[in-house]
Amino acid sequence: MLEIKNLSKVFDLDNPDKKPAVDNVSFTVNKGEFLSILGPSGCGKTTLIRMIIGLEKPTTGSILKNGLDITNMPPSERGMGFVFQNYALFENMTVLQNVEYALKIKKETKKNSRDTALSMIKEVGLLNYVDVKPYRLSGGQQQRVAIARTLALKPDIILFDEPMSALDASTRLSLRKEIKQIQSTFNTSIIYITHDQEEAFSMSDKILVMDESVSVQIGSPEEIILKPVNQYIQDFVVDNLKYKIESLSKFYRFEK
Amino acid sequence: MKIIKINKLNISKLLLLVILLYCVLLPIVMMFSYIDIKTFKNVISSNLFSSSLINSLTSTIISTLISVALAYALAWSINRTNIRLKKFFLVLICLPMLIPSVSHGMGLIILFGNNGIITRLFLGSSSIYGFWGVVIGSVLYSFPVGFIMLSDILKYEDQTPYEAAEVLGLSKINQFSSITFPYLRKPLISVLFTVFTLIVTDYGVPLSVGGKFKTLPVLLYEDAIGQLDYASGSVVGLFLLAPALMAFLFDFFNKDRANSSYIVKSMKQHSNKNIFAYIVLFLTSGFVLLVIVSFCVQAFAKTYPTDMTFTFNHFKNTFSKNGGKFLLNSVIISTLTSIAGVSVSIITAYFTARLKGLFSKTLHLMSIISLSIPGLVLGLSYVITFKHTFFYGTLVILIMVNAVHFFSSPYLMIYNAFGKINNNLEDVGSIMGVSKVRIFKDVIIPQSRRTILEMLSYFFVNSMMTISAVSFLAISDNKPVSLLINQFESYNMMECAATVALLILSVNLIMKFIFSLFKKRGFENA
Repeated sequence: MLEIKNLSKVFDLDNPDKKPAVDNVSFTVNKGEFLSILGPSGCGKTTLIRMIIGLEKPTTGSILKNGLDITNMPPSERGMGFVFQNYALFENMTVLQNVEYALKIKKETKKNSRDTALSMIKEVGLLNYVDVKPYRLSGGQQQRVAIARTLALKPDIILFDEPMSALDASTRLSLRKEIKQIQSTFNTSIIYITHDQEEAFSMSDKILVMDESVSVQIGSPEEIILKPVNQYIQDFVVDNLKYKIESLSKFYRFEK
Repeated sequence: MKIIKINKLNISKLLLLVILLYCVLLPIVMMFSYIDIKTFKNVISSNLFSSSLINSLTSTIISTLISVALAYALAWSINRTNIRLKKFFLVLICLPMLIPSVSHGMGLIILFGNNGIITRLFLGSSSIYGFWGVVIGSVLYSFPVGFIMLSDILKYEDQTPYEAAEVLGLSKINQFSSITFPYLRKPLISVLFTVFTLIVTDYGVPLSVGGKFKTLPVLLYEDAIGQLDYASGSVVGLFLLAPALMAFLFDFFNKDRANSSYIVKSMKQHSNKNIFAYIVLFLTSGFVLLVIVSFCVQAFAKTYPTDMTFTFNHFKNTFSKNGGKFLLNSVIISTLTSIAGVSVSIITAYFTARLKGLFSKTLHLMSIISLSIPGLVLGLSYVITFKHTFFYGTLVILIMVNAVHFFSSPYLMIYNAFGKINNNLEDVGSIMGVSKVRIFKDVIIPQSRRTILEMLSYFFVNSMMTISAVSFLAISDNKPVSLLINQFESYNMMECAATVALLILSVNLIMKFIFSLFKKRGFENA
């Protein structure tokens, strides 16, 4: 279980008028749970997960994993994976080399690292591309390589930072299913950042809605739709989804 | 107050900063401290100074305008038309960058001098010495630089605004004034400044072809090298530093933040003005070839113009005068300058482009400031500063001065290359438990191989042909071969001077060829 307690980040400490980028956010993620953090750009959601992985130091607050305080632990020791929006692949290496690179460095045997890498590449359906360099793959395929690379290190929590914002609609849809599949296969917890309401509501067990550095509401998708805590949730989440459904319902007749 | 953490990273940054301060800033400060008010007044009140200043300004302004206009015509022809033989023309018009400036002056003398090939064939008498000789030589020496800069600018112009203008029904004149001109204005000024600086600080061309027409760099050269009068030389140096510094500041504050990746659609190539393009390219590359052919005639004919029998005597003669030893010197200096220069610029750019943080901005500024220090000024400041150190008079000081002199351009190449590589890679490493050093070695460097090759080539070729800074620091033992041209010319041994120019050209061409082979093989997009 991951517990986030009163996490805040102020970037410019010398300037007292500066607003915090993340302001006193708390939540928990249970084993195997899918939590989305939903909010418009600039609301602090990326800073929040960069603190969780350990790429940013929180100004105040703490992060506990299975009861252990990991707030100041180096990122690589937290047992977490991170998938970037821009894939961040090693462009000079093939798909296989990308996935087995870290394993090799961690002194796994050659055979072990190769086997692990290949099984992860299989998991994301890219076995036909093991010897291809990333620049020859589509965006969706590249993101799959990044996911395989993350999975190879067997994290129990994976953080996704808007992993699909550069992909087209149909690729998004198939990748969504795959991420859900991975969640259940490996029983990993997932923290998923997005500004897309539909994405959050279709994938998550729990959603944290953020606005201007603070957590506005946290709950299951049903709770948020049925009991929005304020006008912001009503506008940004509920009405937005309603509009999408209404505009499509002209064409569909739903079975009762 | 912020507390500076003592860790390996910050210590290495600090170390780099100290090295750059020692090699770049200290000499310049030492040179300025050499100037006293009395010398300053003496120098600037002399008639020679004011005439040289006027000569410098007039010849440089005219040369710059011609050079940039020619460069623009060439860049336009290469980038905006679909003529044939582009690669061939490209190689030819870039040849002048591979030989010392002084040899361009020499080439003009061989062609148009009193005994010149063209003079004898067509003209009868010569008037190449003086203003026009300096102008033509300077254009010949500087236009390839302008061409390369303008080519880049034209290559990255976006077609979409023009398409929008077509849709809106804007006239061609309107399109020029509202799209082309605003787009070109800043980069064009930057090109003008660069070419101006290049010409105004060069002593090679006016020394060889100027005759009585003296310019400021020649004055500095004569003061400091001829009469060892460093104080007067420093005063002149001050006046050479000024325009270069102005160019630097202009560029620094006007940097176009626009990114080349922003291009939606590159410009289409016209086919209708081919004849113009062919004429410009043929004339220019023909003239460039003519100069090089003139070296060959001088170097291989027994006694030009009376006995045109083919001979290797001038090569033998050049080598008997230590030409071989100095050529080896040059190759060693250029190789080591490349290695040292590339290493330091890569490490510096890694700190400034990828890790950022403490000292990064200072390091960046220190790294690009050497762009604004003319070679002559750098050389003079190095003599003043390092005359009594143990490495003065060895190859080390020449490698040092070359590495500093040519540092900025390769540094900027790798700085930009590093900036374009995904900025999350170090984060990926730290999440996966891979150190920054490993990521640097396994990912960042392999992705920058092409750029690194270009940097090596830049350092090598320039160290091979430079005559400016090194002329102050070379004593008999550590002399690079390029300086032999001045020496042979002053003894009126034109055959040997031409031989040296050919030797330098050959070495540089061979190196360019080797680098291009590397580039083709497995070094394409990593």
